[in-house]
Amino acid sequence: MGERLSVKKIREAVGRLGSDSLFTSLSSFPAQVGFETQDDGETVVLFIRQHPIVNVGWVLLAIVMLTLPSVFGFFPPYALLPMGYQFVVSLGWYLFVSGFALAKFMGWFFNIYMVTDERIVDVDFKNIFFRRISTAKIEEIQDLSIQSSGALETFFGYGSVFIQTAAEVPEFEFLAIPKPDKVGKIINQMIDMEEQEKLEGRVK
Amino acid sequence: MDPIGILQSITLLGVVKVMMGILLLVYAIFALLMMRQIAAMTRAVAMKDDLVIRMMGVFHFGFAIVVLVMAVIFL
Repeated sequence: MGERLSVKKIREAVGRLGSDSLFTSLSSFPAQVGFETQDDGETVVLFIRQHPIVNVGWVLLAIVMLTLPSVFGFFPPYALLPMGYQFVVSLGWYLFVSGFALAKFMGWFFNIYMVTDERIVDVDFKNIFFRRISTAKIEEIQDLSIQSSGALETFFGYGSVFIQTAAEVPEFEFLAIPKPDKVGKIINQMIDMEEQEKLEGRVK
Repeated sequence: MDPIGILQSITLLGVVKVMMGILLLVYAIFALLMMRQIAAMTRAVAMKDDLVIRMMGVFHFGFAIVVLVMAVIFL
């Protein structure tokens, strides 16, 4: 099936952003990305995750936690345990650290923001027992603001985009995303195109 | 065995052993839930090469089972 003319126009306006790799934090028109409630013919224009720098804190903490078994021996309750127990406690600790790292990684990996040619999609993954997918049509976007504050955000070029909508979810927060200005500009362009489409009728 | 005898047979290491066994069993259930949540998320948002993240969940669950088995063997 050929690409809709409106999508072609968006593709020309957006250009190529980021990479298609599995761990990308920004990609335009990513290959092989889709979501459960995606309509037929709906195209993912932007695929966004938080900037990788947000992971530095937990990665450092996990590295420190991994080194802890080497000092366990200095603490009496552990030192008094038989060898077999010490072995299992150490293994258990590594298991706990791997679980902590995986949960944190999943929190970053599955916290996804998408902009399609029809709507914005916010996949919230707060912890392993909570997930929520919210959507709002492009035509329902009322206001958009971009925020980049602090030394880290300025240095690494990331920030947040806040989108007010008339949809069931009144505000979408694209937090700590790379190139927030560019993302904001693209969404604004898409709002303009949507308005133009409304006036002229859908261009197939 | 009378209740006093049972209480007298309980040792600190015995309590540690049971506690660790329960903890690791609960953790293995948690790892299973984590694996299932990853599968659900990769269904909700399909990505290229998302098999990698699914394998991470499987390995973590496998590790939890290995540690549980080790605990049964060594404790």
